Amino acid sequence: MSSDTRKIFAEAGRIILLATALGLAYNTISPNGISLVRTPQQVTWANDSTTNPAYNAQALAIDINQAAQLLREGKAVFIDARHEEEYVQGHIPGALCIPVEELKRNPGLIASVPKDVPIVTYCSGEECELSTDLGYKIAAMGYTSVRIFFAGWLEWKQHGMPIELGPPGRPQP
Amino acid sequence: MKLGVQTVLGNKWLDYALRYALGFIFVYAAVEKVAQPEDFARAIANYHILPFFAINIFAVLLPWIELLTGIALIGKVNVRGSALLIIAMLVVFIVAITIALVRGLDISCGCFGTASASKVGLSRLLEDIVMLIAAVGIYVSPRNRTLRTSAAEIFGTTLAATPCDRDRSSS
Repeated sequence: MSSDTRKIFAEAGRIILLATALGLAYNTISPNGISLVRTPQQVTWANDSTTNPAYNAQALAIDINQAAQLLREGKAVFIDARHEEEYVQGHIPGALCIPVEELKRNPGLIASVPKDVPIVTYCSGEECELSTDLGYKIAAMGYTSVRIFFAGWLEWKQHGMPIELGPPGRPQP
Repeated sequence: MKLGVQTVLGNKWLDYALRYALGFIFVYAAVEKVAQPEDFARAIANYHILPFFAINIFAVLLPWIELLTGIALIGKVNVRGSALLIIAMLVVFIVAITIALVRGLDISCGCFGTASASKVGLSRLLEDIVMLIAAVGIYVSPRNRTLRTSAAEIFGTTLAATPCDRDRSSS
């Protein structure tokens, strides 16, 4: 390694060291600081039956059994928050495909769903934040029983639950 | 041809233009990410490239590297080291955006923080490629070589190593 190259790497190393020191220090004192290791989002779990959800402006998380029960009863609208490519390769039967960005652009996408109909959002699993983003967004739109199937698609598939393939449908007007 | 490129890059005003433009872009891009690391972390998470545990540390440190390299380019300190880091970052960004485009992800770029809310797309890719060319230009520009390096190249290392070489920088 020539002295020139060594000098350049030393410069780059100094900058990385300084950035690390400043970044960690600032992250510690900043009110917007975040934990250095990302943890799955914190959600509030629905603690009772989801079949007759009481009014709740906040979207609540549900587990796979509650999600399966809602699907069997057929009253809830399932919304897949993942991207269309993933949806096409498999999704919960009857689920709509509405990525959160799309809903933000066009809130009319779920206008045909009455506000008191239970809505279940999901994405690939606990580490994806699309289902919670979407659930909170829908709850903020005034829907009164929004549920987030937190474990999402991966657990659904692992448990051998019914799935459906193919391109998305939209809510029927 | 090589001489021609070196002559053009040796132009004082081009050197200023490249360093200031790229420097300000990187400082600008860093500011909101430094202020809102959670937004940036979410933008990174949407790419589905980094392992989950690594996202936050990346979101905390990367904006600071952008900020410091930007300032260094403007202030003309550690220019080549900074240019090297910027080249490395831009390559990472280009790869990430390409992967997102290939996967057809409809996500916010996160390039300039999330407030600008620009989507991942071909124009983002082109921007990064233009910046990459500028960064390489800064890196290879004879203007940003140190005095010692130039002397060593011209006269060989013996002269540069002599004690009476007053132009040697201490570090």
